[in-house]
Amino acid sequence: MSSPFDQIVVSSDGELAEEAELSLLETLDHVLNRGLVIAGEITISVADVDLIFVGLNVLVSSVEKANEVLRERKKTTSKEETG
Amino acid sequence: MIYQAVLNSQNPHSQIRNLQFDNSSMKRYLYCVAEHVSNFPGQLVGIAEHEVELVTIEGLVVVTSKFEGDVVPLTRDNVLLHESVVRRVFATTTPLPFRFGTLVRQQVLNRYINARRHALIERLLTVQNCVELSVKIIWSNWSERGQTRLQSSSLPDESGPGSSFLKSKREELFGNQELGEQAKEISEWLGDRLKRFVRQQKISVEPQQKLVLSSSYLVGRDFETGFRSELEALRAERPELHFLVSGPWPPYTFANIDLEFKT
Repeated sequence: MSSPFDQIVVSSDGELAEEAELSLLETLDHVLNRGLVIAGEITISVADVDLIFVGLNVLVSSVEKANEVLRERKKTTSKEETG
Repeated sequence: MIYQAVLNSQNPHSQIRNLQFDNSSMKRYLYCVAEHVSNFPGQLVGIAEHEVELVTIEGLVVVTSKFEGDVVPLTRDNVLLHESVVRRVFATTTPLPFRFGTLVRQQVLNRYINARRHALIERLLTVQNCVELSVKIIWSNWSERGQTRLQSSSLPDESGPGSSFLKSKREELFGNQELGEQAKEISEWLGDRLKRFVRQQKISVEPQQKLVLSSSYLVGRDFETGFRSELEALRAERPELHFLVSGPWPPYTFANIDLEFKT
């Protein structure tokens, strides 16, 4: 169940993210990472993904992390299609 | 092919309309599926500014909106909009939320509902009248724990590169082992204390990181207060741990019927 977002609730200097940021991170974790899946039917564009993370200063490499998450999701849905 | 769409309006009586969909090109953005939906607000605007509709397929209600295009932009607003639509349904019943970005043609949706109707109904029964609560536990004194591990090493400080390498590997191995044992103990303690409030749970342990564990619980709505009270008691018992609690969520973690949740 480990999610990349689980690792970013604590920033590199050991400080916890503020409540509003944590709330958004939790929302992202639930909505992007979980839920019913229809194989091969998740199509999202990443062009504006940095907009989610702008202002969330707990994330050091936010766009890279988001892309990593999305790549993992694509692999998962591809496996579902062929498996 | 004609499907029934129930559009809640401002009128006290719901209007049931038969809408004819263009099956060849129509795409639908999916929010969630439920056994029934009541008091759904009329003219609720969803992703891409299309009205959210309730579509009944094989007796199940799919909360959806039309979508023109092939990809759903991953933006803060769209994510929050998805969540807010699901939460509107969640106010009166517990649905199975779709993952963000689920975009299908009508035929695919029909096939999916037809093929998985029994599994969906079974899962809806499992989550019936429940909420999801998430708990993350973080070491409160992470940086101090790191220093303690370094200082407890038996190797002398004046070491060559080979000894330094062995020293760091030893610390990594035994540090991880110790953390792993502690995290396992915390996981068992947490599960044992919360089990009387919980219908299902998913726990992931990550002792090498600042995060000890990440967990989600399916809790009956009537048990939420008791669950939270117990968590407060647990906080007081373990001041070395920091608890992050979120929810109530619609049951995202417990919704998927095709993919077992990987730990």
